[in-house]
Amino acid sequence: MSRSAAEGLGRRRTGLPVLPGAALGAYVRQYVVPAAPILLLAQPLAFGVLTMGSRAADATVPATVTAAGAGALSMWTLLLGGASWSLWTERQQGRLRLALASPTPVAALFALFLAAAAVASFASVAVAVLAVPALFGERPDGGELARALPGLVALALAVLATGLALTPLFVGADGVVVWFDGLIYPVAILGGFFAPVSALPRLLELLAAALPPYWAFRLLTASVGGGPLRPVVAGLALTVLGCVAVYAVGMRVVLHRIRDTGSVGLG
Amino acid sequence: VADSAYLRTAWTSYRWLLGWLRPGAFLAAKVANPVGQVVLFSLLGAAVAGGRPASWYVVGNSLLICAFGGLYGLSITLSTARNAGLVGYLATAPRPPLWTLSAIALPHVLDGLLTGAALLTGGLLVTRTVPRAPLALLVCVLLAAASAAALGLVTSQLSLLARDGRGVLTNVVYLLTLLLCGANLAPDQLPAPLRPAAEVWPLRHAIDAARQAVEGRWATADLAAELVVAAVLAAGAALGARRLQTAARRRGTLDGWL
Repeated sequence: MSRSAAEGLGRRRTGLPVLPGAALGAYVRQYVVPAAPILLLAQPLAFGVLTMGSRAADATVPATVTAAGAGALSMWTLLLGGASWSLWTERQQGRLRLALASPTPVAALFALFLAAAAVASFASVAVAVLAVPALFGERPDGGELARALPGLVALALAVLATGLALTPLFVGADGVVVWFDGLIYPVAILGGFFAPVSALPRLLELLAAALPPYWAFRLLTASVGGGPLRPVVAGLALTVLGCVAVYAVGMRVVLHRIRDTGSVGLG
Repeated sequence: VADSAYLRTAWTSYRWLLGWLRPGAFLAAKVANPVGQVVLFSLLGAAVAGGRPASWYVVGNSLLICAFGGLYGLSITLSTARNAGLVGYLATAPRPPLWTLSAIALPHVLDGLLTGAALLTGGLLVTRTVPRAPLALLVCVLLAAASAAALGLVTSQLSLLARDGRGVLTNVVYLLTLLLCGANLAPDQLPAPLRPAAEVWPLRHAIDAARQAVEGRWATADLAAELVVAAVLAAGAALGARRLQTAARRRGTLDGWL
């Protein structure tokens, strides 16, 4: 191999273009334990059976949307897990200090790590919308699935943004438990994954509207069942941008704290 | 087994696992998560299925929370001990593994019992439901906790045989319990292939009996069925522990994967 080719290879191995692959690899590394991927499938299957089983025979909500609610909960669990337990494990096993020492901005690294979780979470969504209706003897509707796709991508984006906004909060082992255990169901409730947010008190409805998952699930419902898309897309864009801003500011604060205290990691 | 060493072991392992928690974390795990679960499924029931009172979900999910303590407490303690390389010491300890495992499980069972009972009381108050047979309801809660503890003992022993130390098996068993125990779905709402498993799944009959207790009936058949399920699981746990001990003496560790 010529010297220039070797240098080129070297650049490719360390440059920005390899970051997404590295992030996906780092995320997927958690699943090298053979039994672990079972959870990726078992959770949406269980929640999917719960939502589809609860569905009334004369339900007006399309089956894909009902099943997607279970997929959305799995997506959220994976993202929250990625933002909390995965980063905590990285810290416990000493890899976080390497990330902090690398010249790549840590905020970009974490964002890509969580983006990898969002990509992986599509496996859960696929189980929810394809396998669960089949368990109840319903054939997947190709047209409905095609219309649902943009909504599902929006959901992935929404849970990613929400996970990002929360990442700076994981400032210690305690925080992991607080935010992971404390936020799984509230976000699912406010996102309207299982039941319409209109069933909630007005104050909670307003709170829901401040979060991207609420808009993403409305987008999914509108894209499958019909309805105005423009205000929903605007709401989604606004809340996603808000979350990204919270992430950017939060990470600056956390990194300053790390430099001030001299403690490597988020604790 | 109720000697001081047993209780000391129980308390030490519980503190070891949870002693680092601040009140916020404890509240998140013991209040926010269980309450969130009840609210989510009550909303689902009201919005999607319709017709069922919120107390139906409150009773089911409160008893399910009892299972959470018995199932996860022991599993997390064991996986943490495994990651710290401490499981081998269990094999060399003078006490049989079941003695130690049940001691570790005890505070988690009590913890789950308290959380579930508090959630049940709070939920029934919020839904303005007065249980007409409170004693029967108490028996149901205790039976559910016993069943869950036995399930936790079996699951944790099986977990030792798997390479994964992070509780994947426990999570899968919990998801199955969530699905099959009848807390959120009646058996006829399940897909046909799952219905036979739901008939014998732990907690299923305790939850049915608890719902009847709220209406003032002692569901003795359901209570007896749950007792049988708990006894079978407990016998399985005892048998498993004996086999585990024999294997441990031969291999010098309880960790089946090593």
